[in-house]
Amino acid sequence: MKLVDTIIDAKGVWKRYDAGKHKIEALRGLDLVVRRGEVVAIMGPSGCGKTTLLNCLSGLDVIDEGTIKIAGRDLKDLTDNQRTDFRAREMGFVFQTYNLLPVLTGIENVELPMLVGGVKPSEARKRAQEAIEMVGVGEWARHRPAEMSGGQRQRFTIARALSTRPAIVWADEPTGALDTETSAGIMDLMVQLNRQNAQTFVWVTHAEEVGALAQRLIRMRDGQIVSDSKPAVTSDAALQLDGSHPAVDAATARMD
Amino acid sequence: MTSFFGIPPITLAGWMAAAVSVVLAGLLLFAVVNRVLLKMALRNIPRRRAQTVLILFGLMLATLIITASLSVGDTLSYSLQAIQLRQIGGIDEAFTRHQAFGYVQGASTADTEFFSDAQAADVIARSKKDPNVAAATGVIAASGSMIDTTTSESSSENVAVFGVPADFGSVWGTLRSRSGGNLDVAALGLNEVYIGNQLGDTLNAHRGDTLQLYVDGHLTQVIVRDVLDTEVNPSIANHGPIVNSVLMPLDAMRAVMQRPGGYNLIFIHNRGAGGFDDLGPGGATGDEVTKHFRVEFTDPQAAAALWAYVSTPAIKAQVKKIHDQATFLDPAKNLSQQLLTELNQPAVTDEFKALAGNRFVDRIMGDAVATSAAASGGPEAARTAQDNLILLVGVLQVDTTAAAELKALLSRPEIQGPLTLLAATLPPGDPVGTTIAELFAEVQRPELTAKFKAAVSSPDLQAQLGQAIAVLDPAELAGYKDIAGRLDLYNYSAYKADAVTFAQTGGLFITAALLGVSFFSIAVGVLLIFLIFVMLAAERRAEMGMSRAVGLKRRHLTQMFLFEGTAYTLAASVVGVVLGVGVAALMIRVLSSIFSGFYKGITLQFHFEWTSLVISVCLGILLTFIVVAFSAYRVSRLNIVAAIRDLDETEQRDAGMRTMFVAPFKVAWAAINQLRFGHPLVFLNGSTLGTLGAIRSFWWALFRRGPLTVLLGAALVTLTLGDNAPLAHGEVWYSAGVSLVIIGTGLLVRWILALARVRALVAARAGFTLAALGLLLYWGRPFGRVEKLLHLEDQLQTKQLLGGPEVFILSALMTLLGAIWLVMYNSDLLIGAVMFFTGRVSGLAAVTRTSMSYPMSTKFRTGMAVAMFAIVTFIIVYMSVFKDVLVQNFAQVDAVSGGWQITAGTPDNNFIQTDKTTFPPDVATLVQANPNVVAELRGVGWENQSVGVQLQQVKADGSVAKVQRDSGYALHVVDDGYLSATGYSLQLRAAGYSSDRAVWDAVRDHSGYAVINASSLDARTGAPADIVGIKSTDSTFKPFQVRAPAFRQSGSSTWTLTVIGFMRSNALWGGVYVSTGTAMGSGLFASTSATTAPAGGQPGSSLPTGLRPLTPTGYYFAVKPGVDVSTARLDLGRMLVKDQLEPVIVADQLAQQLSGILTLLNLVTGFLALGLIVGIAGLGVISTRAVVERWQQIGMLRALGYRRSLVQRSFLMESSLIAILGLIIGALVGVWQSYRFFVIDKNFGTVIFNVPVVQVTLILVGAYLATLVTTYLPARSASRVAPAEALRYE
Repeated sequence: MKLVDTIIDAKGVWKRYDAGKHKIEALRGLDLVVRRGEVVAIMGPSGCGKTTLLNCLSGLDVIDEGTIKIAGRDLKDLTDNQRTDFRAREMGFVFQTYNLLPVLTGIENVELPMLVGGVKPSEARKRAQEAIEMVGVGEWARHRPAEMSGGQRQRFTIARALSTRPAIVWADEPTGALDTETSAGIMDLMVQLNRQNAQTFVWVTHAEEVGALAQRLIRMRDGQIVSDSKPAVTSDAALQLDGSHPAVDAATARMD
Repeated sequence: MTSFFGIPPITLAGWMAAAVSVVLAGLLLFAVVNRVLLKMALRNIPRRRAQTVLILFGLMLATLIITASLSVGDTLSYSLQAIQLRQIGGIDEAFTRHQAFGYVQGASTADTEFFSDAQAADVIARSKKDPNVAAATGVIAASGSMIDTTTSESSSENVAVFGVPADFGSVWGTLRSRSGGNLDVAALGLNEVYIGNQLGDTLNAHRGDTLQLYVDGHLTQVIVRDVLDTEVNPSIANHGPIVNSVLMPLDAMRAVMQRPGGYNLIFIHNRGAGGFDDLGPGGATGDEVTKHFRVEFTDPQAAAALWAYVSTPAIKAQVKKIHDQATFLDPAKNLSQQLLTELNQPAVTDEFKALAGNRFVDRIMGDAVATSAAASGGPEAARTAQDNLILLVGVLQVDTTAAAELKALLSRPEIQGPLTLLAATLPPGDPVGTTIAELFAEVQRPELTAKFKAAVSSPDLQAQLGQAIAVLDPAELAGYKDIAGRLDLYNYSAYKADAVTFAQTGGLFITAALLGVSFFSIAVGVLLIFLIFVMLAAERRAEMGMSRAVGLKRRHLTQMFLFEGTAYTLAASVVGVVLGVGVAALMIRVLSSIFSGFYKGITLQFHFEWTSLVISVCLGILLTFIVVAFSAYRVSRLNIVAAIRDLDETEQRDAGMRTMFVAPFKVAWAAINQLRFGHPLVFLNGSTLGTLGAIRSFWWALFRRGPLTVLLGAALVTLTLGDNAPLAHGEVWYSAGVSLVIIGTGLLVRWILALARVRALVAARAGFTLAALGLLLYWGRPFGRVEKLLHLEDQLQTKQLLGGPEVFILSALMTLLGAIWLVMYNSDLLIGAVMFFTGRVSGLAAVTRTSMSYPMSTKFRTGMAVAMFAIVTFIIVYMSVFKDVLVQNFAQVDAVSGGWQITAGTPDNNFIQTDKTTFPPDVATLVQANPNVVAELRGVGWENQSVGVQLQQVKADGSVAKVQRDSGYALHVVDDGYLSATGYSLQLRAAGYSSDRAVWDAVRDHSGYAVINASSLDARTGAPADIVGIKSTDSTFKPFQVRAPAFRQSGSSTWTLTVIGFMRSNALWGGVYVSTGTAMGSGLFASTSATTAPAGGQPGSSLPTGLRPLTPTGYYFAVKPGVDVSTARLDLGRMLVKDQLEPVIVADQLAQQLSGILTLLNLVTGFLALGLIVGIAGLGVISTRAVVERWQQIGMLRALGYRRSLVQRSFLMESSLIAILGLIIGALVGVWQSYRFFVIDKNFGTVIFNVPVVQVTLILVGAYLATLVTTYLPARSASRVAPAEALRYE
């Protein structure tokens, strides 16, 4: 595997939490490598450290030991501000409770990360509109989250995550709050987007059917990876994993 | 504190304490029943300590403000009372021959005002019959002036010289020396005096100094035996707080005044240890004595006639109206109530007689009589009715028996015949002839008329009749003298009780003023309390949802909040009272300097009554409790699922009108069904409380949707209009009604749009924007009163409405409400506008979007926070503009005084003219004869200002405009010296005059020319201006004519003046200026040759001819450049001392007046700034709360790429938005309202209006920076939120 193909490279990652008198070891010397354009699902029982791993990989949290390199950059070498900027540029997030700002309309939520990144408001609006159209909720653009269904909200979250054209999209229980039918729609959307844009997706999920849609399924227990395999059924056989995907090349070029 | 709205403080404190006890007992009962709720509530308190401190701070503020206001009032009344009681000694009441205001201590030195020795003995003997009276003695009081020849200092003009008998101590008590030790009048030598301590300071006099003393115009030399530790100043209430005093032996005084017998004052001392003790508990003894004397010295027939005249239903209705409309500070409030009680009795009572001697009651009767007559017969009838009343009141102290005897005596042909003949021979219009003819017309009537009594009660007429009888029928002279001696029943004054009332009214006034202005601060405190509890509830939403889920009822949540709130309240009230007393002590220090500026020698002694503290604590507790109860009720209405899952609470929607209309019937039917099932108690509950609750919900829904709001408003409007309006303070009720109609219309529009399936946000925006614009238009009145624009003014009779300060408060609050509402419901435009600018700056767009969207999404909370800032900013800005206008218009001495630096006599506000003040007729010659003075002055002039005139514009067609209701101007008849030297600049000059000087020269040189006040161009109280067709901004105008009838006097209405200039409204001595030559043609003044004032009469008083003497009443002096004004004043003082005139420096007087007002305004502004601190603290609470509330969203923002600094900036911008909105709205409304007050409504006439931009900006920037400081910490803690930590709790 070429180094440039590796987008996530975590080695010997330890993360501990203080819980009163006890220390909880959430991650225990964990190693993980993810290639550019991969769709990875992380599964495991509650409390196994899935979300902690996602937080640490995305730079939302800092680790106690080990190294995490994203696209070749060691997160430890970055200051808080640099990490924040890096996140804004290269990462998108999809959460179980959507985390849309309730006071903004759908389109305003989507354009917010672009505005933070210094994109001109008019340009941000154009790109946000495109992203919303892409996820199929164009007619809800001017509604507030409170007026939308769960599925619509999650589509806006995805649009927001993709609007900055990030290299990695982190999704923590993306279907946790949705019914089965809506979940399937959302997951199809993400798989399709992965195919179109060759973005790396990392899903943390409880749902086996979600895990089944990923290209790699990582199972965790007690802060460690216990298995790393291909799921039994791959959603899209056409997905090319040899790194020759044109969109992957374009993304690689951009990151370099 | 004497009484609050007529309720004695002890009663009020008792009631309040009882109310608080009931509330606390109720809560205690609930707590005992539900101990777990109490525990849950109390355990919340220490959970967030910083927040608890903020809550306590907010809660205690109302108590603090109330305590401070009451304590300042207490101090003031206590100090004024203490000072006055010292100066009044043991003298509780006094008698004079006639009622005579304006004289020294109420006593004149005219012959006719002296009691003979026999009369004095009679009064003293009759007084002593009252068991409450301990001592009575006669004295002579006269005005004096002096130079201390040892120190060369001269006194001020207000000096009372008392000739007192050796037993003066029996009424006054023990006199004390300033240097310690007791003094005795009996020890005074014939050329020795005691002087008061203030006078001692003014003269810099000490024991042994020689005084050149003028007593009643007679010069004598005396030696200061000692300086007293006080002034001797009985009758403070009518004569100002300080009158310098001199005590000399009665015999010495008689010798100086060449008056061997008689007294002009009789002092009474009640039994008691002095001070308050003399008046008995609650003033009861004093009241008894007063009633006894008033009854004893009131003629019963006259009292009965007066009672019969005023006890008609129409007049009684007017008295009731006066009572309803009087503020609690106005003595008319209680007195009108008492008067009404007596008028409703079947016949005249002693209580009525006692009341009829009170001047406030006389005024109430006068107003009531005039108003009721005007309603039926117009202004003429009002005037006649008032004249009749004056006549009837005037003869209350005229003995009917003696008057009847006099009438019989005058009917004798020996007397009547020759006098009638004399009258017939005199030329028509001769005053003597007229007087005789009028007198004998009354004599010939069969009955004894009030007019006859009034005529013969005149001391002048009595003297003249005596002379005539001595010539015509000498045998009857002794009989006549006997009758004349019995005619007058003497005039009684309750000196001490009046003085106490004066002091207490002063204290109440300052309390009311402070409470009035601090209303805004208290309102902000209330908003803060409300906000705090709404936020506490928001913070505990999930907990409350859980509690509800596990079985707690809504009322349990309400109770829990009440327990917690009450715990805070109790602690906060105690802290508030303690701090309030501290704040009051600080304020007293400032006030003390103001008072010593106004009244030399007054120092305020800090004092508070325990009742005031009880009232403050209870008011604080009750106020907070009400707000907490309301907010607790509001927050208990939550959606359980939404609360537990922390979802957005959708707007509380009711069941819909149809369902709610049917609900009461359904509930009642269900209750009846319960009866069928054998549950009578359930039936009872359902059929009463249940049905009522359903009905209430239905009505409330109608109220919320608008129709009922509109109806309620319309009902209020209807109630307040019309003659028999049952509500006092009509204007405020009327305007509140109109506001309800406006608000209701907005609600109605929202409802209708919602019914038409318009989106809720759009419907709300349309409805509330409409209501907000309506309120702004109605209260801000940018185009004038809306009723006038709609041509409804006459139809609605809005001019009849009376309003007080409460209208100002309502007007401010409604304008602010309109402005805030408008902004809140159109926030997207605001956000768009700001984004338009910030969007161009990289990174700012995102922060702007989040920081503006959050506050605008919680409109209620943000609106309240904005209101807190806006209310306080409004009043502070208003005060600043007010101060600035005062300074701009009234502090520029030369401009407002026309360049005259020194005045003497009537231009001096503090000058009290006595009957022995002599006004030198030719001051210019006096000046010329005095080399010191002539070298110092560049101009000198005199004026006669003894009459007021009205102005009627003569129109182009020769017709004359009618006199407007409030038309009235001081007429300044000024001599050539004045007109040649005056430096008054004019607002407008007539065409053809190139300079102001040219105008003044023309007034001097052309008979009939005048300069009038520019205030005549301003409309007053809605009526047209006196002069129309000329704008105050016109550069020039065509000279025009006015008729100037003397104010409130008939006749002489043919006087026509040509106006060639308008004085500026800020002129210190504004009015109508004419030359002496012009005045001669007015028919108001006698020619100069005939104007030698009669002996004993005072200049300006009516001559027997009915004309006024054109003699000086005041003097103006302009000092040469470079000359020290104080030196010039001292030289002038020496020149005028024998005339008992003391010159004053205009700048000093103005500075004293203005600095007092300005310091008071500063003090009040400082007091109000407390409210701003509350607002700022409130924003701190909001920000702290926002961080907690948005913990997770902050994590999300951080995940999306918000740097820490960006999060912090976002929070700071959010607080800034609220603060800036509040500050800007408050400032704009403040500036607009003051512009309306000064420029549109012209409450001070035409003034230079200026906004102190720098000062206002500093206030706004200062408040904003303070806001940043308080919100910095929460913003910082927001920026420290660890994203992973925050997102973990999703």
